Amino acid sequence: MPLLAGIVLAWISVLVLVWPFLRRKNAVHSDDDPVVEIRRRREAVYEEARVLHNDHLLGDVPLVEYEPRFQTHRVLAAELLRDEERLQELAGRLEEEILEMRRKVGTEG
Amino acid sequence: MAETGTIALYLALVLSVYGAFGSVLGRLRSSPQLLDSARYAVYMVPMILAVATFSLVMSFLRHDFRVEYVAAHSNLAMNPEYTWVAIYAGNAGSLLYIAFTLSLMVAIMVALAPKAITHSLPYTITILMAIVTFFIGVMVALANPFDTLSFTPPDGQGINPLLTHPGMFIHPPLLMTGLAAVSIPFAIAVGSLISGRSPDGWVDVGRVWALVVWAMLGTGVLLGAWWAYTILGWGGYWAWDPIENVALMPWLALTASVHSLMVQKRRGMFRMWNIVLVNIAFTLSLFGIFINRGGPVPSVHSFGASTLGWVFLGFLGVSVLFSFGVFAFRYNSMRSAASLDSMLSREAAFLVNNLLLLGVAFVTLWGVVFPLISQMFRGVTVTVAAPFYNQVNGPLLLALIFLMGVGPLLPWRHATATTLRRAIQTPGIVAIVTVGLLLAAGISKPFALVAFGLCAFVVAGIVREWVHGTLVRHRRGENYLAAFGGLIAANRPRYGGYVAHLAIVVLALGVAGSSFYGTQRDIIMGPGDEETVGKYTIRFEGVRTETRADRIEFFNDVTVSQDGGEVMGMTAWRAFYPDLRMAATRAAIRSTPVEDLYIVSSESLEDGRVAFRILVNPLVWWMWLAGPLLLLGTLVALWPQRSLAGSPASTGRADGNIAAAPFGPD
Repeated sequence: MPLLAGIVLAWISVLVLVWPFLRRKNAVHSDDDPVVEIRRRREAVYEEARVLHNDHLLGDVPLVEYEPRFQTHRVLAAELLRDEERLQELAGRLEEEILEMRRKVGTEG
Repeated sequence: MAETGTIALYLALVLSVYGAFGSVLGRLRSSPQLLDSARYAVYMVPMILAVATFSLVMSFLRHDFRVEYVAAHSNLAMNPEYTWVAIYAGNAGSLLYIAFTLSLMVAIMVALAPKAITHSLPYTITILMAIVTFFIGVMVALANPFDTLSFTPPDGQGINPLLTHPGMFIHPPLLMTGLAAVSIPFAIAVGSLISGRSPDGWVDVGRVWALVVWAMLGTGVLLGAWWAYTILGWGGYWAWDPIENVALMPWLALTASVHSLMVQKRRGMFRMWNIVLVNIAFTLSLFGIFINRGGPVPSVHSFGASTLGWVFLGFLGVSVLFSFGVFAFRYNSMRSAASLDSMLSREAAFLVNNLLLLGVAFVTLWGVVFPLISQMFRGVTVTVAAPFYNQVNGPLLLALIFLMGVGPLLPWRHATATTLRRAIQTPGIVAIVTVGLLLAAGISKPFALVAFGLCAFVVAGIVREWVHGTLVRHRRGENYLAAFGGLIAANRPRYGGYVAHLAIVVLALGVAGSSFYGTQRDIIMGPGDEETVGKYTIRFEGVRTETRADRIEFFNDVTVSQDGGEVMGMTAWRAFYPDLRMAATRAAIRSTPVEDLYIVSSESLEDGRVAFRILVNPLVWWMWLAGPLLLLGTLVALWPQRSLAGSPASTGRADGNIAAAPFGPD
């Protein structure tokens, strides 16, 4: 019985370890999505800005220091948002082009 | 079940080795399949070790005394609920517990790893799997909890009576897991260092795991103090015992680290320093495991002398060489993005706080290793006792409390004399008034006055920050509750940190109160005798005896009256275990926020009289409040921030002004 349990555990382990090699190799990892990375960076900028704003409200950061730093965050967030939208537009256009080509191939075929 | 457990251990060993090598090879060969496969191995290891742990639990529940470990740490009379405690009561079982919980935490860390550490994660996995492999390897080769005897004894030796305490369900697991899990922030930092990518990419996730481990170790140490207070019968909670010390030291280094990482996150400073700190924390945690396993220093709760200690010492040596080798190799890539603008700034306060924390850690380390050095080089056995630690660490800890009050009130970059004065004015006045009131109340010991004054200073500073922040937000139209909630949510690490600071203050209150104003009397009473200790009159009513399968229990009943008024009954418990030839006690404790009345029966004499130790310990109640506060503070600091990036409002499409959108009207 213990041996049988061991064999079952070993087989499950082997299957789990081998599984990534059996999957389609061109499967895209969501981690590789540049939009996700840009969104993460934008989130970090928002957090920085929120902390800075709160510190300023409490009087810990004087106006003379707050304004330029806040403006830097604001511009950076806008740039990241613009990049994100460009990437999304590009992805959308690519999808449309692929669809168009498929339609053409379908028509010609 | 023992065979299943052994098979599971070997399988886990193979998987962890595969995870370690597969991960780094997958990274070096840029093979996503191999990287995924190695990651799955990381997830499989805790599952397989769970099977091994389950096998050991079943062996205990079935009283399978053929298994050597079960026979050594349980018997037929053992309450089944203590099976959980028996699992880690010995060296082999505790190694299984450590390997299981560490691998589980590693799996969670890998599953939740953010994209910021994608490039360094394979190295981090390799380091962590190497550590898990070490623990499993030691078990398989030297301390297998599933080893069987050549015969089956009719009964086991029984669990150590000192372990049959509610605190034992949480205290050792937290400390053992905490000590081993220091490797997680260490591996995140060193993995990032090896990858050579962004020097700050690891900071957020490293800090999260440092905080998790810090809270585990802190709570574990506090629970250990509570256990010692209630069961060891000497009336104290901290004896600077080597095993206590080795859990405290990495906690101190991690405390320095979580503060210092904030500076790197905010200012891009202290990059090298943070790597050094996390290396020190890891080294101290391995040192702790070595002391705990090897028994070179006698302690009430080490696992006794064993050859395992030298294996852990070897691993410690290799780890130190590796971590500082990587540090030296990447030295040039860790230059800070900024430097200290002024010594009168929050980052400077954090730096001094770091140095003080490390100072306390190294004084404590010296106290632990000095007896070993003395024994080795002079052949003289010496004991470093509490007075050494109190005299050296006491002033350092007071300075730390002062910095804890001042540091958060200082602005980043630089403070002017005006901002400093404005920040410390109110807390300073509160501290002075507190000291004045205490003097008027007859409290005159200088150290106690300084300690209480500093506690008042810190609390006043925190309350002032909360009140001021809430009022500012209230003036902007929020009701008081929403204003307070909004304040906390605006900067959770900061306000969570304040709650953790409050925990340290209440801890300091308890330590100062009981250390400077505690009273103790050792008395012998016969039934009907009365004694007065402070404002309490204690009358010994008599002893009740009960015989159990493995012990004889003595219930020493006393009646206590306070200032001749309220009368209450208390029972000091004591038991004798003939097979183990040892006694265990449970103190009778009446605890209030003002003081504890602590009664423990130490010995029953032949003429029916009983020796009691009676203590009045002021403010100890506050110490136990520190644990929940510490956890609450950590929870607030770690609570995830509401995501704005994906929300429609944050995109700014509503008003067409993408730059202004996430930042509100101002």
